[in-house]
Amino acid sequence: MIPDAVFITGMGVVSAAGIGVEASLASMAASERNIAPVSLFSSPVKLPVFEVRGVPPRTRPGKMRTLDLLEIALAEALASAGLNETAGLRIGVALGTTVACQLNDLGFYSSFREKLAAPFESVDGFLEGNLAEATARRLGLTGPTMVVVNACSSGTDAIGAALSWLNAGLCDIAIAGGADEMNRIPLAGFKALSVASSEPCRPFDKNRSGLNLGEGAGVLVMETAESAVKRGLKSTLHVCGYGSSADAYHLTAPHPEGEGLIRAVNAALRQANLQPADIAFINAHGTSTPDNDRVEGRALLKLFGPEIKVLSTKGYTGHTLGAAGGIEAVFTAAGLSKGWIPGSAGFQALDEEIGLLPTLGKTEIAGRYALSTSLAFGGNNSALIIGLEDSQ
Amino acid sequence: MKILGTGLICARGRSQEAACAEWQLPDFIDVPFQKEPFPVYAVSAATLTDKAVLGGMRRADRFSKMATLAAHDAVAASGLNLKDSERTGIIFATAFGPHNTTFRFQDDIIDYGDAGVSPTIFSNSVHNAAVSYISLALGIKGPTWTNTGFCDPFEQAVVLAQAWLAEGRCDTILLGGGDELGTVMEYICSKKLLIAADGKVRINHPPAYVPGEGAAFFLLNKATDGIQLDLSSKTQAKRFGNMLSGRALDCAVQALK
Repeated sequence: MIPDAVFITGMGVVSAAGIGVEASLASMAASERNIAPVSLFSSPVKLPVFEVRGVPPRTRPGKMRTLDLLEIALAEALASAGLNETAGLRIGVALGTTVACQLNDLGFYSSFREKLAAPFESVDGFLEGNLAEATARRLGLTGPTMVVVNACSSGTDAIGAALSWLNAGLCDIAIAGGADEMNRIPLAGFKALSVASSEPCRPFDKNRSGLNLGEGAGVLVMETAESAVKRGLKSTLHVCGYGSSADAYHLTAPHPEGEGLIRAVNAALRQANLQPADIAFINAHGTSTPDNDRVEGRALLKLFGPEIKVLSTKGYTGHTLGAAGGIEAVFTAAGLSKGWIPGSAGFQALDEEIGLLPTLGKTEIAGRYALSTSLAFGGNNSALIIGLEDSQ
Repeated sequence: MKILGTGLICARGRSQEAACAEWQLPDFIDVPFQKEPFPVYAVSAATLTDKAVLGGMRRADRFSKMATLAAHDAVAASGLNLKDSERTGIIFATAFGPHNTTFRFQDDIIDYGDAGVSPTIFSNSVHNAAVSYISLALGIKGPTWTNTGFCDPFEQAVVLAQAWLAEGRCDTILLGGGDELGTVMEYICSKKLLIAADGKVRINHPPAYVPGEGAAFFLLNKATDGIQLDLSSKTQAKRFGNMLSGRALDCAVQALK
């Protein structure tokens, strides 16, 4: 194992594509798209979404669904990392979210408005539901804890924070990723912004008409080589670069030339000591909105050229907001590890304004490094590079 | 980490003199959920009227304005020009974010239905809107970051800032913390905390709280000389109220003294 690398020793994921890494990969290999009208709550906004099936809306009164989704992904990640016992280990928790950082409970708020009093189950669930603090409490962890709320790049940024912690020696192991639930408030918000589509999303397609919201969680267990060796683990996957940069351009629109994204990708490449030609594939943010895909696609084309293999897994998961970076990091690592990536679901026609052709079906991968990108409300851009060490 | 500049927005105003002023009673405001006046250390509207800084933020909420003014003042105090700086990052910690805007958006849903809500209010309701406004106002193009927590979000932000400087991700970091007051949050505080009816914060057992709001920012680099960010600084809760975003204001007052 590379002595100073940060290894991925465990992974867990839940989304509309499936519960668990293997189930999700099988579902994507079969090009399944589990998209349907909202079933978790009543809403007059009739838009198709990607919900996680088989998980009840709430497992107990007041508890946020986001926490339930996180616990599913976390259980898989901890099990695959062999972390049944955490006592004596220096473990940090960095998780991204958007919905779970707000008291997005219309029942509580409407009751307060009408009666100037409201039941406190939701407030208690909110105050106890900070993802990182709740995870650290539940597992008895004493390392650094942080919930990143950088909108749609939160999950990627949380993994970036964990990388910084591990490199700084602040912990030996980090649980990192993101989680978010389907919720009535962002559904109304994205509809109001006119970026949500009434059809299944089509990332990078010429006729794309917007995003579909999704939900889920994606978690990596990241670990220093020294800790992994001490625990008797052999991992070939490692997180080797992270970069982040602001557009300083607009509250909701990306910089038209993708300047911030290009800086973020270059920063990640620098940290990983790689060149663009070293990247085998890119799991792009690819939300399917006209703006995002045009800006992101053109920036990636400029950086990597037309031969680069690109996909967006949002055609299988929807846009899972703060969870997206975590889920997509898991899929990126799995793609490298398995040697294939799925087709970019929903894509049919090349957009000549972008000039980037995403994967059309299951595609074999031969390289050792992959990039995952995230662009966020507020103009934040983040890039993560995952590597696969030669197992020989 | 060396403090190159400090900016502070609090109930006493915006200046260094205001931050270091002697203790005063909080405001006692009327709230709809109880008969008795409710003590708060609130930032006045007059504090948030600097058109030179906030002129491009017509649609921004109070939360973002407090944070942007504090960040601006920290940079101004340093004497540095960070416009187009790709080597400066922004890290901002908050416990509750722009919750008044979140509830305004919920007002829209209740009053006009899910299909009749304002996209502007929605985009301002995300926690990282404040940092986005700071980045826009000051032209900072490095990493921009918002983190949240109910235990110690500012302290966690300090840890991340140290790590970023150590690994060379940034040369300077604009690090801050902030939270705002509002009727719903005051209601929640009234139910979850022992509020000091006399307006006098008590730190020891049993503690008594006066909710406060404000924002503080520091421009930092990794030099070891000069004034260092000191997390052990004495609490200023008695003068500015209890801030759930952590010790940003305490550290700011320490630095300004």
